[in-house]
Amino acid sequence: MGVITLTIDDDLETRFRRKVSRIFGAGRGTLGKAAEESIRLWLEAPPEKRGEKIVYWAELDGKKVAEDTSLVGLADGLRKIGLDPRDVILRSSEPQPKERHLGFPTARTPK
Amino acid sequence: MSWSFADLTAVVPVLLRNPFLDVSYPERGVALAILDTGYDGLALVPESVFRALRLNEHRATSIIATLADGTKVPLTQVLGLLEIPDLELIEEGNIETNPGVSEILVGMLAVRNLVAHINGCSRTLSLEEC
Repeated sequence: MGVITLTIDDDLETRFRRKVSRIFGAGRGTLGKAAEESIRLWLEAPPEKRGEKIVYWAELDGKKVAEDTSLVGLADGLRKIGLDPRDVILRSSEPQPKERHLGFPTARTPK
Repeated sequence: MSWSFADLTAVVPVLLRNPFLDVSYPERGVALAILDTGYDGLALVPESVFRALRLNEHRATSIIATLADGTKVPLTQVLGLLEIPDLELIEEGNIETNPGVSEILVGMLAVRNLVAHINGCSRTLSLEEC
């Protein structure tokens, strides 16, 4: 198990401790459990919620050849270096789901 | 901003763009896209629209989509722009297609920065920024 020592705002600490105690009780390890869940949620949040800019880039033969924070900027960048955008693979730092949903199932198929 | 719909299908006027080859669909005006809250992508378009945007000329990636009945279908995707001109909103992301698609759909990624209100009584769809 990893160890992280943090310094946080007093008010935030008080609110966090109160909430953890209300939900999990005052037992040992409850703060760590809540902090772990908070970090997990933060990591899974959309990049823009973390104040992170989405980056778009073009790949040619597995190498990044241009990048920008907008598709229009990336298109300009490719033009400047004389690369045909049809020769590259366009990628985004936005997390991609493993699968798309096209209508959500309303009933499970009987086994 | 509100738009009326007639047959219980909520539609949004959109413009799709391929910024890499400087192509828009439609070339003039807007196209009506169906707001599909069961679709978690940005825009799903018929192959004819994908070709009109010349997205078929790019090196595409693919993703598997699960339909409501559990069937899995592959979608071809290329990064592009979805614009809702009435809202001056531009969203960047994957524009996707599959041979079975016959309408332009916009999904939940298209409205992730919007408040959407569907009024079945007045048959209107309202969208506004968060």
